[in-house]
Amino acid sequence: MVLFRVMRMVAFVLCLTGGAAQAEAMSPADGQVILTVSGLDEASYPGGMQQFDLGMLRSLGQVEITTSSIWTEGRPVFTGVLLSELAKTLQISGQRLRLHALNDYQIEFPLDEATQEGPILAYWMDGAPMSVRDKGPLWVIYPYDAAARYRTDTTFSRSIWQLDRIEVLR
Amino acid sequence: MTQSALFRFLPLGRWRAAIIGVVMLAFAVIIIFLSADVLRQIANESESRSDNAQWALSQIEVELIQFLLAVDRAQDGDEDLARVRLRFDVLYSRLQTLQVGSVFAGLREQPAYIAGIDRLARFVAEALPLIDGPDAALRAGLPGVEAKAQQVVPDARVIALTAVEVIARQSDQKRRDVMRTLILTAVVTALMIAILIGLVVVLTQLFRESRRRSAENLATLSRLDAIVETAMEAIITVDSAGRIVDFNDAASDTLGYGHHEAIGADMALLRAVQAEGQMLFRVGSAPDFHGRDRVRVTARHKDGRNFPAEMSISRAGEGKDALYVAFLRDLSAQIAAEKALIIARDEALAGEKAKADLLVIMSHEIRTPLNGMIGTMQLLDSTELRPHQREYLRIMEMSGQLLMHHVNDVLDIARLDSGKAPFTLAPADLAALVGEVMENQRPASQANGNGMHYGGPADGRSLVLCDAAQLRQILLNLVGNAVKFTRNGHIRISVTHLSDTGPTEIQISDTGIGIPNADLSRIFDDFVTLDATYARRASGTGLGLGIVRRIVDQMGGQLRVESQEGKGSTFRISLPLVILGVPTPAVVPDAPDLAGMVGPLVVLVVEDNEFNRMIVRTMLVQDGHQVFEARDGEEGIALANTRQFDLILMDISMPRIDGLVAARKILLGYGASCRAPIVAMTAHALAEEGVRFRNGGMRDVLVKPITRSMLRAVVAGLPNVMPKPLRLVDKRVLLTLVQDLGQDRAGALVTRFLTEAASIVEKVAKGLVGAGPDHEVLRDLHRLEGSAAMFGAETLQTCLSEVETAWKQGMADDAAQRLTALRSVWHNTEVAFQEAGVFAQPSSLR
Repeated sequence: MVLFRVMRMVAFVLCLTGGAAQAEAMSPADGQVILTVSGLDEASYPGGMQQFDLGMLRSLGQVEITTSSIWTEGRPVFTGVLLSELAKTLQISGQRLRLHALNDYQIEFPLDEATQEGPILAYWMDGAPMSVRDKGPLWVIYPYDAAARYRTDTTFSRSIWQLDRIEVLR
Repeated sequence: MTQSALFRFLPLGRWRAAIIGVVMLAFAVIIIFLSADVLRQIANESESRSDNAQWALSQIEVELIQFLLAVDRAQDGDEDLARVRLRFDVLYSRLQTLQVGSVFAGLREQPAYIAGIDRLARFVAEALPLIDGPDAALRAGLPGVEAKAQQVVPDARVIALTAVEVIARQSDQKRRDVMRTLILTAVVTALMIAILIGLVVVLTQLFRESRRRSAENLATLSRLDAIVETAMEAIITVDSAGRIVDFNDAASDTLGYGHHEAIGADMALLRAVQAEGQMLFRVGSAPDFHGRDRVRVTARHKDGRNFPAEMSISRAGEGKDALYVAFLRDLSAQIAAEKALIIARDEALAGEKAKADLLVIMSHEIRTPLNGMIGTMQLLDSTELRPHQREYLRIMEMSGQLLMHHVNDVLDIARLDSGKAPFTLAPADLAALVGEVMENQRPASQANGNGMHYGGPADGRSLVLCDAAQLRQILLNLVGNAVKFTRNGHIRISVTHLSDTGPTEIQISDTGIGIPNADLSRIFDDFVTLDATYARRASGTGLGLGIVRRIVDQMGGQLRVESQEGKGSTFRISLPLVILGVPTPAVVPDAPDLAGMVGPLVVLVVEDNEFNRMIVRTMLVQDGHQVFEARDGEEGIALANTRQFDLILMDISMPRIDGLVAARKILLGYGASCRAPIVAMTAHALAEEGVRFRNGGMRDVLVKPITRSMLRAVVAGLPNVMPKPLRLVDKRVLLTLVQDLGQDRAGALVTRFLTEAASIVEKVAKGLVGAGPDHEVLRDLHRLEGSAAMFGAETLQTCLSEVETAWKQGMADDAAQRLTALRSVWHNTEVAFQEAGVFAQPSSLR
């Protein structure tokens, strides 16, 4: 997956240029909020929350994963931001996250298991944003085709779609 | 040594090992495949395809109901339309997952599922425009949507329930598959383990077996070792390169090399050489001779001494691993013993021969003067004597006879012992034989007042095949003994056949003084005479029974004696004779009174011994014959050729020319007496000699001492008509010729004949040398023969004819002999023709 790595590099560069390593809250989202992260350090983030719109997430990373899955047909290209990257930006590590979906599905996720390879919070499928009907706006996507470990029940259960909230647990 | 059944059954031959290997391999492959299958299935399980399908399927009902709730709340005003739309979207996306997701592929084949999904999909499709439309339309259509949604709620449930069953079945099947594979694997593994255990058991057995065998081998080896070490023969083991591997103590002793010296050395050490001088061993190679029988070789001791030895080599094993085992035995002692034995044997044989020769020569030497004495005494007997002189003469004659008897006995024994006493089997009438013996002994028997009787076989078959002379001797001895040792008693001789095919038993019993028991075994020994009352009158050398024993032994018979002292003795001989049957009654001519029967003869006596010659001459002269004497062969031949004799008595053993040669010369010499009967006189009585004499042309053989009756018998046996002697010239033929042709003509012819004949005879005589019959010579002879016949040259004609015949018959020797006489015959013929005076002209006589 050379493309994948290249994209990652691009994302990384963009992150650097995006000035990701700040300890302060980002400017509030001016577009439609698609992700709310709560449970953050209240000193850095008012109310311990940070909201993101599509543009903000896009500026954090544009990692592409081309993979088939058990819910889709063919091999769509998912574009999104690495969860680990998001975590770094938000300066959270080692904690457990609780991810919530619009359909009231929720799953817990140990942050340690978010790697450079995945998962990503995918906001685009095949270059276009996903509607709720398409399981958007955010879908946690792993590179299922890449290895058998990405095809476990645990991984599937963490591939939460219609993601809208991440709660950082203490 | 019994092999275990297992060991025999599992010989681990190439085939068995291959089969086992293949089987094990197959098992391994099966297990690998099964394991791979299990792993695959496990891997399958490790990656999930289901994503908790149950959750997704039950969620659709939940999300439908959530939607219904939202719609309901919206109608009540507690909820805004955004919420409704959201719930609809969630439902929509869920439905899409059910329609598309690969995990639900199996379910999509279930009709109930398909039906449920279809109805849901229809509802969603119907509601879609409303949801996506403006708010107002939506709000207005909410009750309708709600109603429709309500309708499809059961479908959502059905979907989930269908899945429950199907999914349960699927996972059960999967579990079963895994189980099956695991069990299969376990079974195959168990089988493999069982086989392995089996192999282990077998191996253990084999190991034990091998250990046992090894122990046995060890025992055998040590046994062999002991044998080799204690063997008395040198045993040397050599490998295929010729190096000595083993060298026992006996080898050390024999060859002088120590054990340590020999081991590892090349076996050429032994320097064993075969009889023809071939070296058996060459350095660095195996012996090229083995497996054959013992061979005599020359071996060398360490100290350089060569000694004769016997060696045999055998091979064990093949090729490069072959071992050669050589047995070596020092033969020095044996050979020395052999040599000594050979020397001793030769000496003994020489001694025996010397003894035999001595006996023969001595007896001949003794007999000759004895003959002289006895003969002379006989002559004396026929002269005028006074009574007391006659008495002296009688005593002398008796002594002479006895002495001769003794000498004969000794000769007989020597002859029998030397083995030169062959049988001549001929049909003989036992009854006649016994009769002769009885007749011979009658005077003595009567003198002792004994009576003699003979009893023959019941069926009258007294004709048997035997050597009459030998049998006569046995009978004479035994009957003579019986007569000697019986006074006024009775002697019975009986012949019986013990069975139809013999053997024949001759029994001589007497009522004489008998033989003491203690002496019964001794009497057949040589020189044993028993001291008995009549010992002096019954004189003897003690050889008689010894001779009988020898002859019986030679004939293959048995000799037994029973005796009671004072009552008598019985001698039994059983002989394996071929019984021929009943003898045809022979016409026994009366022994003629020979004196004066035959007219006076002109006799030639050829004898070198003066006395013998004198005796024979006197006997003949007294019978009225005219006697000429020749002192040796040459004289005899000369006389025989010049004078015509009626009878020639030829002594055999004469110096220079012996009797046989002389006789032949006379017979083939065409002399005056070439047709005269020649009788041999000899001191040797051997049968084969007689045959030889007869083959040499002798008419008869007289064995010395020659008695008057023998001479008379010979004379009597001459044919009444003597063969016509040959004439040199048949005068009548010549006379007829003269009559027919006239004197002149006849004379001319005769002259020409004589001239021709002379040249032919010369030619033939020359052409004779060495060669056989030449055609030309034969032709000449034939022509000459014809001419001789025509002119009456009888002797010449006969000579030539007989030469031709002899040549034709292939008797080259005979022919040659006759031809040698041709010249003298011709000469005599010429002279005779001259004397005949047929022609007056001078002849070309040389």
